[in-house]
Amino acid sequence: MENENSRTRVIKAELADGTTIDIQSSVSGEEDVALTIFPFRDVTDKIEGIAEAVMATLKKVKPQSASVEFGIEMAVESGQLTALLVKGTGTANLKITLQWGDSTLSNRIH
Amino acid sequence: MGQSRYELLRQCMVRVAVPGGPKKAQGTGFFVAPGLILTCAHVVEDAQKQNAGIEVTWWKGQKTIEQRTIAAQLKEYRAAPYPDIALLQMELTDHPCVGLGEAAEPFDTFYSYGCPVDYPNGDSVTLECEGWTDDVHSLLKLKQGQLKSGFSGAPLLNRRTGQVCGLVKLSRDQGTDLGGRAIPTKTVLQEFSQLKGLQQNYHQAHKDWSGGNTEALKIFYSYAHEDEKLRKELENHLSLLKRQNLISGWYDRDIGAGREFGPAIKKQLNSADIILLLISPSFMGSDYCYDEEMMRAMERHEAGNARVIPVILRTVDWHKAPFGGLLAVPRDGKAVTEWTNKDLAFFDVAKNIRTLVENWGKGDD
Repeated sequence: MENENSRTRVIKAELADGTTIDIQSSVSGEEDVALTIFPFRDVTDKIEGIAEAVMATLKKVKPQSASVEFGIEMAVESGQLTALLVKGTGTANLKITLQWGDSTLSNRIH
Repeated sequence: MGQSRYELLRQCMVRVAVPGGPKKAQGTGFFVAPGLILTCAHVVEDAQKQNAGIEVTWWKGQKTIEQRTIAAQLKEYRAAPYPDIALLQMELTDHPCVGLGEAAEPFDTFYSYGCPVDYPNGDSVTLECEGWTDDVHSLLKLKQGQLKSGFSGAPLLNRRTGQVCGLVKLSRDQGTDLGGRAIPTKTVLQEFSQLKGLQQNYHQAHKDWSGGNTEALKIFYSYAHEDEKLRKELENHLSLLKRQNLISGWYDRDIGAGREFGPAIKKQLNSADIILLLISPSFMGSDYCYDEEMMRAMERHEAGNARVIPVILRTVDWHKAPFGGLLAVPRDGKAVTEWTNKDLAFFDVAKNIRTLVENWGKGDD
């Protein structure tokens, strides 16, 4: 995936209830030119995957509180709708803030 | 009235849709044999994988708003990414079929007609050929034409040969005229070898796609005015070729009696595809015919830009003339007026010209 080559295009995706929505999506490289409707589930599956992966890490380090921020861009790649992890605020693709209170910290030291 | 190859291509084009599949895919296809449509496999993928129904819409060349939507069955399927082609079968036979031809070279220009997202009832695009990719998964690379969603499976008509040399597969950028790539006819005929026989049968019975050219070939008559009557008879014998829009004729009666090598004649002579030298004593005796028209005609013939055919009308000594090495008609160079039946002589001439016209651009020498 070469970002400097990417362009945007409006594509049609279908939600689980059958509703069709228009999405401005980035497109890179060559793509087959059949007119198709993409299942939006392909994007939500990717978001779930990313969230679950981050959660698994957080569970290991057990912070008292945590916030996670990530930017998603819809993209068509090799004819499939997919989610691109892109820069959100600042320069990070994935911004994670973890906090521990004093008690938690001392527990962890002992 | 004959129809142009472009119009015929439009009449062969159909829209292919799989509305019941999860992708609700739509693309383009075209008739390659009676009841048989060629398209891209990725257009009908849902029909293969989910058993969803295929619908084909045909307009009979946009002449009416009437359209017919007919169910089609998947007959052959070669999955994407390569070769990515499929054959659909349907109950419809009153349609024309394209002529398939493998020839394609860098710098050839192509015409295509398909069903893009914004003009789902048909839209045109012209493209230039850049050449081939590797030989194993060979694709034709195209530029300078915008290929949008829906064009998958659209036929590529090679302007040079008048044959369909591939079908559109992908776009290199839908938002610009960067072009795309096409599956070559060569691959289609390798995968679906039954098409060779079907194509041959169809085009032997239907002459609408025969002849290798997309536009009528221009014929220039070079003759002495004393032979005007014979020239007219020859033109009558060629009139079917003219009605089929395979040839268009030009002679200088319309431009007045002055026989100087004027710009009008020069222009016609320089753009003619076939130049007929109507040989007679009058032709050989005319400085104008011999020195101007015939010499220029031979130059164009030798440069490969036109074909010169000596038509021997009346007996004269011509064998040592500059055109003496060319194949003369009628048969054996026997002058038309020497035949017991003049019509038979002209028929022999017309037959030779028809063979030349119908094989035009097919790589004969």
